[in-house]
Amino acid sequence: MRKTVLKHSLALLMMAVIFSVNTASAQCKNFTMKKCMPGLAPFLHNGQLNSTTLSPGESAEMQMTFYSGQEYRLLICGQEVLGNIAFKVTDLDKKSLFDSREHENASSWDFKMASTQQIVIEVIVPNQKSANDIAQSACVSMLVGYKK
Amino acid sequence: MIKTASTTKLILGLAITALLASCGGDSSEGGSNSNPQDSAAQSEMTKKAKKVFYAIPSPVEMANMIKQSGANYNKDLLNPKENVSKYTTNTSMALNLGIYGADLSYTSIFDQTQPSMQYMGCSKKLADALGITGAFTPETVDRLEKNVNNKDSLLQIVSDAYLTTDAYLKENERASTSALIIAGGWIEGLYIATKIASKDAKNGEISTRIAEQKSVLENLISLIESYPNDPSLADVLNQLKSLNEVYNGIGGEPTKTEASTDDKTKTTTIGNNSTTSLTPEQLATISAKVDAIRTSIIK
Repeated sequence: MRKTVLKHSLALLMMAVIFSVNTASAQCKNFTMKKCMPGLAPFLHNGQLNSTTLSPGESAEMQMTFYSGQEYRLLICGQEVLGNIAFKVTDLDKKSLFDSREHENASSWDFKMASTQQIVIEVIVPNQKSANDIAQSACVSMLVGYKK
Repeated sequence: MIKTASTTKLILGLAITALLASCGGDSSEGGSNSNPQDSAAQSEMTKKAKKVFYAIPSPVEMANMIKQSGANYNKDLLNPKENVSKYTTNTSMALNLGIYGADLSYTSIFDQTQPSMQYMGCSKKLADALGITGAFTPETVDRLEKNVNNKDSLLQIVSDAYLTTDAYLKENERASTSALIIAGGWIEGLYIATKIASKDAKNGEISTRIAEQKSVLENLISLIESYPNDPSLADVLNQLKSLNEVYNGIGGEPTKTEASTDDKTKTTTIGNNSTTSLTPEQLATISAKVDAIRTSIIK
């Protein structure tokens, strides 16, 4: 009897955790598709969804090769609860190419490539304003579009 | 019985705690028990857990660059649609969904109406077999038919279908399957490029594009390596690593990154106009290697 209850409870726990993870993931996908994707137009997205849930103070990084002769748009999109998400673009040697904090907290950046090379995009969620704030994790997406 | 009830309460308590934690609540944040040491340790853990994504350029982008290089359309370079019934394992279906996606991009870029419809059919068949819903729906096929003469719309529809596929798989904890699709698409794009370059030695642009795949390949390997516990990725990872050994002999990226902004257009340009090139021998070696990898996938 005890073993059965234990088994059922553990199964319930696992299901609940899986459900909550899937729900967060589905919410992030829906948020990206509905709220972020339109911001890439008229650029065409690269077919990959790079999104994750981040909390205040956390960051994520994306590395990608950009081709010479092409024009691109980087779009960083996060749920409002996270505040102004900053993003920084660097080369592989960490040389800074763009920092949204120096451009009125821009959420996107258009640029051209004169030579093909790898670029690193880092997104940074600001820290909480007050220690009493409840840290909430929310969806952040890093989208890349190129000119058709 | 009392003991059993206590155990159940304890487990339910743990479950609720776990659920609250997964919803993002963190009782230690700002709490009275927090101390600098805890914060430092937490900060260190956050640093270690920083998520790193490796994005790969789209097969549509590669097909577009192939056309920009002045190459002509060649249907013989594509994976025959009849092969679709051969793919029965999840790994072969995912890799070939990527391959057909690249073929679909190629036919769409070159305004090949009928083949585009056929490759959309192949993609749909494999996506359905992989249990991917929402990407290649009857509505998608209908949209494709209605926009078959509008290349921009066509490319949007194809890209959207593959984005939905990627999103569906990541949402359902099947991101490694998505990595296989991306790998298949990249291999097919490179295969088409190498075949064109081998037949047209004067097409220096396509040869440069092939050389530039060195860094894309490195990112693709990193992407696949981010799923170390998935045996379905082992074969393709070994094949890509073996191709990477060939690429290691090619010159790297520009050593100095320039970024300049046009004051009038406010557009920033990155790079120093340097290009990477291949010797005929390097091209032949890469071409043979890619051919072998692609053959092992589409067989």
